[in-house]
Amino acid sequence: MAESTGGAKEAKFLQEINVQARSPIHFGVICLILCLVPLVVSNEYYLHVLISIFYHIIYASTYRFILRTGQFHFGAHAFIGIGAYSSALLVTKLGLSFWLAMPIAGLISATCAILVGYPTLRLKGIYFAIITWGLGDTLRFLYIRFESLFGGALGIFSIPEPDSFPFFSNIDFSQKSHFYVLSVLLMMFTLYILYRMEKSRLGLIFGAVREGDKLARSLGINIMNYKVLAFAVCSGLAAMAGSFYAHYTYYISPKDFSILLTIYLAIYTIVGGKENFYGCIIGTSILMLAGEIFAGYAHYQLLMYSGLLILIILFLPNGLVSIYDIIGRLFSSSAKSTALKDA
Amino acid sequence: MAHLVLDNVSKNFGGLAAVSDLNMEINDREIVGLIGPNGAGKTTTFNLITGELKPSSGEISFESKKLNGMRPHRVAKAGISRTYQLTTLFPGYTVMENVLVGFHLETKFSFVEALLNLRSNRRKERRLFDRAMEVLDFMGLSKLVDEQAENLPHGLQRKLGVAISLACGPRLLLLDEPLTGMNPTEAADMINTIRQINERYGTAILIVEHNLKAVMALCRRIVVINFGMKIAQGSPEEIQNDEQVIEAYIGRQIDAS
Amino acid sequence: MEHAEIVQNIINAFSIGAIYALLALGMTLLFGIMDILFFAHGAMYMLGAYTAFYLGTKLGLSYFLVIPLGIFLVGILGVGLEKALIKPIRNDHIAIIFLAIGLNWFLESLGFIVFGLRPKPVDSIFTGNLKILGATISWERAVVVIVGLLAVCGLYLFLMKSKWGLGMRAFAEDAEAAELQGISNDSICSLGFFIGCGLAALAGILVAPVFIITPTMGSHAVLISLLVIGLGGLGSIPGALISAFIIGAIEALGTAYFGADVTWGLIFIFVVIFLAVRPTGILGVERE
Repeated sequence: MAESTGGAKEAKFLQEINVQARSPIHFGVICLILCLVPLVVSNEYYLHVLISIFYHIIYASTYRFILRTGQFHFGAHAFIGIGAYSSALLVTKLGLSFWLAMPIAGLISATCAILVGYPTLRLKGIYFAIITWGLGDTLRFLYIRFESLFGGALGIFSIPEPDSFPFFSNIDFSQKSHFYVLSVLLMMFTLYILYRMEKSRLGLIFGAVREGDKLARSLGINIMNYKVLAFAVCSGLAAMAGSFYAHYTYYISPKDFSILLTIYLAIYTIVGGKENFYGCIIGTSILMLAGEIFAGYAHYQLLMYSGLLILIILFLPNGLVSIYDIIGRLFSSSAKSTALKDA
Repeated sequence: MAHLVLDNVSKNFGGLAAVSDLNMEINDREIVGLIGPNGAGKTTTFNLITGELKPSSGEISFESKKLNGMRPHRVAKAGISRTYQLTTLFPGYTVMENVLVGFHLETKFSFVEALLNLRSNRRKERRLFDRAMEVLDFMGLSKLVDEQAENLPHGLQRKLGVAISLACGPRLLLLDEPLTGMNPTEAADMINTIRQINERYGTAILIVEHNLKAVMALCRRIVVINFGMKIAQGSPEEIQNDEQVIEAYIGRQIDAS
Repeated sequence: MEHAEIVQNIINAFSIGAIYALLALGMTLLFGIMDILFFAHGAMYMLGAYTAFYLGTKLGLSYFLVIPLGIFLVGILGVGLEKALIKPIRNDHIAIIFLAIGLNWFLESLGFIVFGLRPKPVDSIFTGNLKILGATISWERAVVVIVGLLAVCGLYLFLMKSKWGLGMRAFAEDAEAAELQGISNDSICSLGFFIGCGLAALAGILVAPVFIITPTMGSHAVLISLLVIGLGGLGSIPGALISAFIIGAIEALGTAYFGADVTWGLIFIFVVIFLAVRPTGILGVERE
């Protein structure tokens, strides 16, 4: 072990490693607390709002992760749609159990991401944006064209709720609270994977791929493999959330998976703060809650969201999370000045 | 056995021959200088070696392995690392994080281990941290571990660039004008560091530099190219007295005025 | 396939291609000169169409007055937006892209609220059809093609011959150097946005009588523009023209023989395959 002059600085990095060691516990505790909420809140509408927020957090966090590898992703809706449709079809047409359909839908989506990713991620950023945007639209046309398979413009009806969980047969998803717990588990699972990816060496490499791919290549990093990995994992996780969505709302149609979905996710992520891991969690929660004011008036909602996006980009580029940093700095600078006075 | 061999390598861009029939060797543990007037094809040669450009003809091999057409990241894995003329770092990262990226090849990364953050993963991270500190110590950057790379003064940024490339554990290091923009003190420090890298780690070094005094002091052997062709090769004394070399530099100067 | 049918299809391809070319022209200009992918381009197109509706149909102004007025109004709006929103972040290209996205959907939602949900019809003053080589094309569409060609020639002449055009090209090469030579960066940006948004508005005004106009026409137009520019090669005006006509051709033929929705998939697959084979587009320039 090299005993060097940077004694205190050493400790900072090693401290970080120890913090990370405790992260499974942190996640577990938060998960438990969230799961206990239905004991206190029985209002179905509130639970519904929370459930919506939770699966949108999955959508937004996975979207943000792909952005963090330096890719302009305009097709989140495409892969979420693949997840939803796959799961719905696997259960309604093939009679599979939801608990099989959901992970399979995730795998299907991840596979599609790999197939689309390899040829397109090597192109310049904006081409990837064009292609992913077009992918979403093309899929929608496919859903409409092949009516017998996908239900056409009307979509797929009567998607059954998840069958009773294997060992707990009284959890039959006849109540909102059952869906609530599932959404919490799914969200924490996804967030944990994303968190560990970001904080580990993998995250360091993803950032390197984003910041300087020429340099990264000269260090032996295979850029394409990492970009495709992030793209596939995130698309797969988002697809599983899409599958949850299908079985929660019982009905999906091509309209649910339009470019607007991706635009919303982009807005949640950037308003929340794309630099910070917690940014899009906060952005999604706050914006979706605020959007409840305009429930049913989609245009006013979008007006508010896009207006906020413009304001944030101009005045608070690092998003709402940076407010926390700013306050922190204000306090530490005032602490410093008092220290100077005492000295 | 020769380390790096360029065998009749040429590179054409449309009608322009950037490099013509270049023959060059770099042996184990050598420090070789590559000099020539501006536009002589030095950076092109680097790019050919690292795989960023494909040779139009000829063969490049390293430790008996053919490098032609190998993609840059594979070339790096084969043991060749480089720095760039314009300082390249990861600007948003701290000094420590920058070097850690360089070490990514060091230990095998297990997805599952990292996901569950098992003790074995934490041990690996601590080891990488120690290795990074070693390199930073060696380069004299250990006090700046948590500084943002983009905030460092120019000279230290270049040192960081070298440190990152060093982290890959290369057996051959290509340095592209490492002394540019440095004052005499910084330059002397960098020259010393380069020499130490060669002695301590046994890394062979190919250096492109315009600072001829530094090149003469550092390199045991110098290759001179002009218009993409090798015009001379030898020890610093031989080069200094070579007529063709003198003409290349002076001839150019007359043209320039 | 009968001779007349072939010609008809070609004529259709041309008229669609002309619309797409006009649409993409403004965006290409903004990207080529200022390195900005102005997503709000679609909103400008939509606003141009609605301006034609309000000035032409509602107020009854002559079409020949509506065109310049509409271009001017939307162009001025573009300049205002540039000064207020883009200038502060001119150097951060990623931020500009997301800002333009926000702007596009902001204006679109505003459009829904102000203009209402129902699509508006716009009367056309060019009635009747033109017969060329045995195929018919409505005068409206013919006008689009003619005006489109004029706009392209006009833009070309402007960029190559006029003082301001040369200034813009200098700015595109090296903004700092241009500034030092007395070419005001601010003025170039304002002019660029005026022309770019003006072109989008022109496309909207011309298209208004041909298609039904809705507030969402903008987003659809943006995607088409992006496809055209992507296929043609970022920053290349001739490339954008060629690709606009190729896409127009695929759409015309595809709609005739396969149906509208499949056509869309065909266009998309074609673009993807083409870019996979030739990543810089038809006439794309490698930019550092």
